Amino acid sequence: MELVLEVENLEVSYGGIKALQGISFHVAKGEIVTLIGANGAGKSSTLRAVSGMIRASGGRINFKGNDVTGLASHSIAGLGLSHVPEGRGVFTRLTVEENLGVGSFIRDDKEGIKKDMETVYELFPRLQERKKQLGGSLSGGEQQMLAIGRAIMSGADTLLLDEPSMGLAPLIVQDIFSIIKHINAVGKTVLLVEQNANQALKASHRAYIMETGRIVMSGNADKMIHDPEVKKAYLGGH
Amino acid sequence: MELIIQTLVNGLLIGGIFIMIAVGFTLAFGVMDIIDFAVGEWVMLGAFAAYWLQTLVHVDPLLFFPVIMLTFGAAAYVFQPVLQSVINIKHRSAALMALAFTFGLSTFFRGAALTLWGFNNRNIVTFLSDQSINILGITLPALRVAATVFAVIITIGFMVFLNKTKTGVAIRAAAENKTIAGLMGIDGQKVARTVYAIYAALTSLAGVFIGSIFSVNPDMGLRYTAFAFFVVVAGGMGSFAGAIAAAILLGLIASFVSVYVGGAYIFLILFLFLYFVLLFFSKGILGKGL
Ligand SMILES: Nc1ncnc2c1ncn2[C@@H]1O[C@H](COP(=O)(O)OP(=O)(O)OP(=O)(O)O)[C@@H](O)[C@H]1O
Ligand SMILES: [Mg+2]
Repeated sequence: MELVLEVENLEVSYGGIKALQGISFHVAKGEIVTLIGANGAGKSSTLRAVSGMIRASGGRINFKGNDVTGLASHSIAGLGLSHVPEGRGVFTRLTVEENLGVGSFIRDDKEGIKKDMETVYELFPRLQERKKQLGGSLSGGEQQMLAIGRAIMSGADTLLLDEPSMGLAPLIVQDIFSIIKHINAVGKTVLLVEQNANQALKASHRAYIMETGRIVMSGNADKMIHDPEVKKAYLGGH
Repeated sequence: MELIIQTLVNGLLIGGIFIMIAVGFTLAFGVMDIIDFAVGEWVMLGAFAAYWLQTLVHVDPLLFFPVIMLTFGAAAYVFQPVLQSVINIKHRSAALMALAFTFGLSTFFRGAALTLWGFNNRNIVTFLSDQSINILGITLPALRVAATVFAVIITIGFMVFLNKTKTGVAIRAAAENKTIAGLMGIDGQKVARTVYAIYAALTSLAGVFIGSIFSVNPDMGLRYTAFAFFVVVAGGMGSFAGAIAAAILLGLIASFVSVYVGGAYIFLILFLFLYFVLLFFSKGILGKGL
């Protein structure tokens, strides 16, 4: 098993308040791993620390054999990691096409970029229809599609997705999960954060459960989905 | 009637030079999130660079504008990290500190120029000085026409760069959100440095033209700082189209006020106008700002 991401005793604080109290987890190549937890558990903080959006106050992060703890986000992106942050982060003053173009900023392979652009437009035909439109004029759901499309454009082999189904209609949520599975099937490793725990577990290989800055449980997703404790706390009972 | 047309033409021509300052200034503001109060001093230093090039090296400064632009660009590129470190200070009023820093910087530049070169006016003579074109009784001073043509060419080139090249689009992305741009692999610090260098180069070039059209003295900068401030605010913070429109408007207001009201009233009228713009169009005259 080849580890893509290895996190040890990661700590994050915001102005003295510890949001992550030393968590350890790993993601192997080709996996979809989900972080589940209540609001404020520290899921987004974990992704932010891994991608370099915020600085860890303790612990180590290893990405594909590189110690990336404390590295700037643009350097980590350069190693092949793409983070779709909470709230999407679409550039509102850039067109859809330009947003996708910026997504491929670190790449030089014109052919590959063109191919990925076609893939994105195939996955999200709405984006193609709106490619000259400003990012800010898209609906919330369309912006989410654009954010995922931009991650595909990065050519990164590892994606961190923070609540990709947020604010989407149920039908589209289905689409998003099947797209995540598809992306994974064609070779990308995915670290996922989801409120929609049921769907996420169905799509994932493994999962970690977080509570107030700690990991309290981990295991295979298909086992967890049947675990009575997990069911009660995160899957809405029954 | 002829006076009105002449005033109009003069205003448009001077507005052209302001555009040069406005686009760089707007971009620098977008990327670094500060208003650089030293902007006028870059104009002043650019003008002095031209003057000394003429006096000491005996060349036509207008022909050596690439040298001046490169020198200022390089100086700004080296200096930018210092400014950035002030902006990045983890302090509650970091933005105010950065503002105060650029203000201090402008005072320093002005003081240094005054000490070194005294307060007397100097003139720059270029191959275009004293030349003019006459069309239907309207006089078009060649230098102003050249400055405007230049400003328009540079502005168009700059817009093409920002909209059509990979680096340009990345700069616009970083101007909107450096954190997200970082996730795309864009180095926000490098972008800020590059933009500051471009801005200083453009502003120094405007200084060369302004110094050649009017005159050169250590006090000339302050006026252009106020103008630049007018342009970004009236244009709607961060909007290029707005800044360009505001620059032209500024040229027209300045020209008409100095002919029909008196040069001393320019700032009074300008900022009164700005007040009403903010009151009625909080997103700038074209409604495209933040
Ligand atoms: N920028 C910030 N400044 C201060 N505190 C923060 C900041 N961001 C997060 N926190 C705090 O850190 C803790 C973890 O937040 P985080 O966003 O990681 O949670 P989360 O698990 O992603 O929650 P959600 O499901 O609501 O998105 C919370 O208590 C939150 O209030
Ligand atoms: Mg979150």
